[in-house]
Amino acid sequence: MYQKNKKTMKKLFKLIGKNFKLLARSKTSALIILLGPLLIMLLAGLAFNNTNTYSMNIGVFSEDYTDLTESFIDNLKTEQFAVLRTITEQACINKVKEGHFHVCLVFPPNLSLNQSQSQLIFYVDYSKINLVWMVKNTITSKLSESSSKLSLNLTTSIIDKLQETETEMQDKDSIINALINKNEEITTELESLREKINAMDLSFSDNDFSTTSIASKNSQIDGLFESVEYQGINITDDITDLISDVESEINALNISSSEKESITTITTNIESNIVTLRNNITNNYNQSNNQSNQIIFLISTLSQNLASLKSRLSTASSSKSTSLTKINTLEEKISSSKASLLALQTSISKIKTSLSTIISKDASTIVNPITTTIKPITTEKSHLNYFFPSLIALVIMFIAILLASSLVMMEKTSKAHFRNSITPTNSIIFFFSTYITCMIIMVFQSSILFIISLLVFKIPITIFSTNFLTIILLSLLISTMFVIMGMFMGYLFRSRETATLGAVSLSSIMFIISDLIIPIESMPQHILQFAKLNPFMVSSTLLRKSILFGENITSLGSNIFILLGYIVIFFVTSLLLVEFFKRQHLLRLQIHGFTKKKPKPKTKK
Amino acid sequence: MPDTIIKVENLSKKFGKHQILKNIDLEIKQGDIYGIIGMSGSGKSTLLNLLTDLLTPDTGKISYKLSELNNFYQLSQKPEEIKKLFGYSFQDPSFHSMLTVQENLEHFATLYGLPKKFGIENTNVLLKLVELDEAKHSLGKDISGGMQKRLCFACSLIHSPKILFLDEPTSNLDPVLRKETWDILKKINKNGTTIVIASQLLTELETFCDRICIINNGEIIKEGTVDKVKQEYTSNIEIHLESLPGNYDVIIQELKEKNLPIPRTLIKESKLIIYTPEAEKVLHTLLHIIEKNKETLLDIDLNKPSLAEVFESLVSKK
Repeated sequence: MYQKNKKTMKKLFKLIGKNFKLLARSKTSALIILLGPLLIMLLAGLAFNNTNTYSMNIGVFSEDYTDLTESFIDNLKTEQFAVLRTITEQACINKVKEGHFHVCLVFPPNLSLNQSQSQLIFYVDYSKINLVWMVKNTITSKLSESSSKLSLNLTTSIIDKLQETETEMQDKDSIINALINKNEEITTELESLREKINAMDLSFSDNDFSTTSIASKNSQIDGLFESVEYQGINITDDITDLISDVESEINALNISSSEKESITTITTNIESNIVTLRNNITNNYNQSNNQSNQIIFLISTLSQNLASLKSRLSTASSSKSTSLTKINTLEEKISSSKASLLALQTSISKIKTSLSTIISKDASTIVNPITTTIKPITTEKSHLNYFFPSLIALVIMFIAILLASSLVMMEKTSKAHFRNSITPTNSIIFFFSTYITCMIIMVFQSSILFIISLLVFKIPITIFSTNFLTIILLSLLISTMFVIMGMFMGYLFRSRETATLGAVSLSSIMFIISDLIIPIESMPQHILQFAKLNPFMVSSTLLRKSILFGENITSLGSNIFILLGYIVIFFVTSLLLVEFFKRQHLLRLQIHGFTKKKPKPKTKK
Repeated sequence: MPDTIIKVENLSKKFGKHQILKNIDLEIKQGDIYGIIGMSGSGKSTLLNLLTDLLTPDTGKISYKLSELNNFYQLSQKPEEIKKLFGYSFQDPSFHSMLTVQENLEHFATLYGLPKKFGIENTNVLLKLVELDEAKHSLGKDISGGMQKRLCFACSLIHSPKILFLDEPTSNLDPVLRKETWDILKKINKNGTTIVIASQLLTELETFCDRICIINNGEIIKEGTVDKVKQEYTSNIEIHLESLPGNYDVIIQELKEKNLPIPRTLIKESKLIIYTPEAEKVLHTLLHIIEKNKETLLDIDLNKPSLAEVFESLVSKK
């Protein structure tokens, strides 16, 4: 068993050794296998081995540039960003679409910290997915830095004012204590005063009101009423006597009886009235006499009450005197307290003034004085929409390069290759036949891609799109470029394996040095310039502009010329290679045959 | 006397430091079957590749007769016409293995610019000629080795060339297929096609070729008809002896002691080969020696030298 395993292992190692020998003897394969990864690593290393030095162009726009806006711009300028101003917001957005700016930053007019939260708007191209996140992170962090600085300044200002206030309050603490003590004293004094006033009695003395005199006068009035009554009765009696005399006289007069009768009626009335008057006088007198007696009683009672009141008022007068004294004292203390309060008021006023100088009183502004909003420059929705142009370019690149190199190798390594070579058919015809075959397949593949995109992913590329023809034309040109590149690889290499390896390596290098993995802006400047010329980048950019931004062929800028340039260069180079390697290929086979069949003569020792 | 159709003058070719062909001069007559003989790596295939423009000579020139007026042209002068003048059947299959037999023929007819009608006609004629009519719808990769060889001939003949170059046309074929192949080649030659063959199978060349050239180390060491080459090589006759126990060294020693005209002897496998211009005299003596030494005679034969022997001898001399 052990022997069997040993033999198996021996065979295994022999086979491995043989594989390495074969690889080593196939020089191109060995070179590609060994140097391929090294080359990719070297390129990737050169491209990405740096520390966040992003070379980005930032477009800025504001209707009114304030000092704060300028400070933001200066802060961005101090970094690796190139900051360029535009005259309108739309111009700024357009530059992002065209790829001149990586981000467009729109500042609000009159940006200042007095405003409530200020909002900065970013316009980014979401189709550059990696770049978007990098831009978002970098610029946001840069602006957050500025925002944090502002927040720090604001908070520092508040803390300064609070410290000033604390000092001021400490200074005024003794005043407040004195005020409190004085107020306590006032309270005590007022309590005492209240007791004193409560103790006051406001009764009157009867002497003060001359009740005796009133009684005397009442007695006199009573006598007068008696005299009036007596005289009235006398007068009425006299009048009655006179009326009797008048009536006698009238009877004596020589007048008609009617006239006498009339006069007698009058006199009778007068007598009657006189009698009534006399009775009234007598009654009134009697009544006044009763009233007078009552007045006398009331005056007596009043006199007693007044005496009592007099006594109480005397007491109250004394208390009043004491209270006035106390009030005077109190007034002095209140005056003193008022002065203290005025001092306190002044201090508070100062604090108010100090606090009013705080720039922002809005908590959210202090915490985050600047907010940012990120807006896409297109209205596409899903990530696939943004990624779609690059995806198309990627698929076209890989398929075209691998397909074309395989087809060329198929032709070159075909059993019929020699026979084809000796026919009177120009090699350019073979070249074009391969190209057209690839293009037909590419058109078929691209159609499937577009149809799936339309039906499954709902990406709106239809014949109704305004720039449909541009997209188709670009797809054809891009396919042409990669097909010719693939053919170039096919003609360059000798075996299928090396050609496939070469094609995969070339595609991978173009893929790696593109913005699909890491933004090319993170590459060193000298490599960035080459990376921008990467055929895959050029294709991806062109498709992005046409699919996402709806640009037509005339507005695609320099990239279209770069694309055409590549096509021409690879076309011419491939044709030269066809002619050159046709001979080389046959020659190699002959040499190979020769050396295989007849080993080199050994040199004499 | 047939006209010359190909003239090669002072032709040389080097691969790197290796001189493959040196100052080759030859003429190939119209209607001949011309054999190019040489060891592996001697430059036969290179010469064919130079003749068919697959390689470019370092020096010298190759001219082809394009008309009856003995006007010779080089490939660079009239590439299209000259390329149509010849067909080339390579040592290995040279057709599209994923196309059918018929498609292959039609494909090459197109590449040679034949009108469709002629292309179809030629295809049908050739399918019959190379006996692939029944396999015309089979893929190239699915037919047998012999059929593949025949398909190659057919592909080479699709444009009715005046010259057919063949590189090892019967290598890797069994004797039956070889015979079939030669039958076809004879038919082709009978139709007026000049055939130029590079091969190591000397017996076949000896039988079928009108003229041959022997190349060694890049140089033509003999050129002419087979008989002429043989004659130029030697007038010796070979006596092939096989006996038991086969003490050939003793026999050779005794023959030498008799002072007979024996320039060369050779022990090959179980046989003794004796070269001599006086075969009868030597044979007589030989039989005596055999008897004397009590050798049991198994086989004895008289032969003129074969082309293979001439070749072997010439190459070993060099």
